[in-house]
Amino acid sequence: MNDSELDELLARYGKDYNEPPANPPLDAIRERVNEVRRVRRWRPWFAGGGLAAAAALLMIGLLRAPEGIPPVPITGRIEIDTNTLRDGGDPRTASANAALVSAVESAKAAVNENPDDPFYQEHLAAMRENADRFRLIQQRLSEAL
Amino acid sequence: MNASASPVQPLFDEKLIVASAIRNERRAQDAIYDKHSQGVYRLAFRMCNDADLASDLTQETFIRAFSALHGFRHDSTLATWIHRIAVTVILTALRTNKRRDGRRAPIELAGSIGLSDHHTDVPLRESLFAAIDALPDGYRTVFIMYEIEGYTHPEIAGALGVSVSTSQGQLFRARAKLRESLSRFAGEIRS
Repeated sequence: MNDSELDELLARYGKDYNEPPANPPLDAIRERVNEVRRVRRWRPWFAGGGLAAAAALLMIGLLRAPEGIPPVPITGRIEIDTNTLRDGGDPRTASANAALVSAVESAKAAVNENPDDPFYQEHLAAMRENADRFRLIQQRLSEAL
Repeated sequence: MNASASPVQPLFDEKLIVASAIRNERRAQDAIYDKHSQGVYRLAFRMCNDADLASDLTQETFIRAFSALHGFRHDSTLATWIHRIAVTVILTALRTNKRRDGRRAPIELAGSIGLSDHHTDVPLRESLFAAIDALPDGYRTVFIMYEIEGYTHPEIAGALGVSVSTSQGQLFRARAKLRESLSRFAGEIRS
């Protein structure tokens, strides 16, 4: 086939190739473009709002926690104590045990003062669980040492 | 771009519209969309032959364009800039999306379609379409833009980010492939 034959073929049928619809849904596409852009424009604000709400809830939680209950559970003390071990100290210290007992006792007291509030029940359960884990770690460390 | 069939606006008007659109002024954004959406949709449809996909590609093109408009430096016309985004979006989609229509076939088969009955025009037409479908996407893009949608080589070069001579070369090679794949019909076109 030569060039002029191809031109003739294209003149005859070229416009039919994947011919677009006469009335494409441009208005619907515009709406979707605007909607997507609107959502994307507000998304950072939503994310920021979410963070602010989380921070506010955290503050409320801390304020609700009665004095004596540490905001960070006893796992924090476990880390401190393993650090002590790494530095050559003994994790089976009196201060660590005292803090453990104090945290559990504080949690118990808070439950007694707020018997209907599940928040304190859960907190006490978490304290006990952490205390058990801590004692187990202490025991294994003692065996290892 | 002549595919949108609207006169080229003076540059200062375009700058004003772009500046307004960057400030999120809805009327300016609508003006840009109204002027260029038809051409983008047509090109997307010609390339993918799928109404839903063409809509998605047009949508994605304008979302990207409006998001990046603050970076538009007026080094080219807005039409060229938007079409460059469109071509990128379309070619990326075609590479990752296998929703091309069922006509797509190896180019070697294009010449054999309808051989037993090519005294009618139907197999000739279908063979032409199959041959265009079988072109590599780069050739096909230039071919469709130039031969079917009526873009000029400078417009195609701007949209593809290549030189005018590259655009011309791509078209030459596309036409050569088509002539070769349709060679069985030589001498019968004018009958």
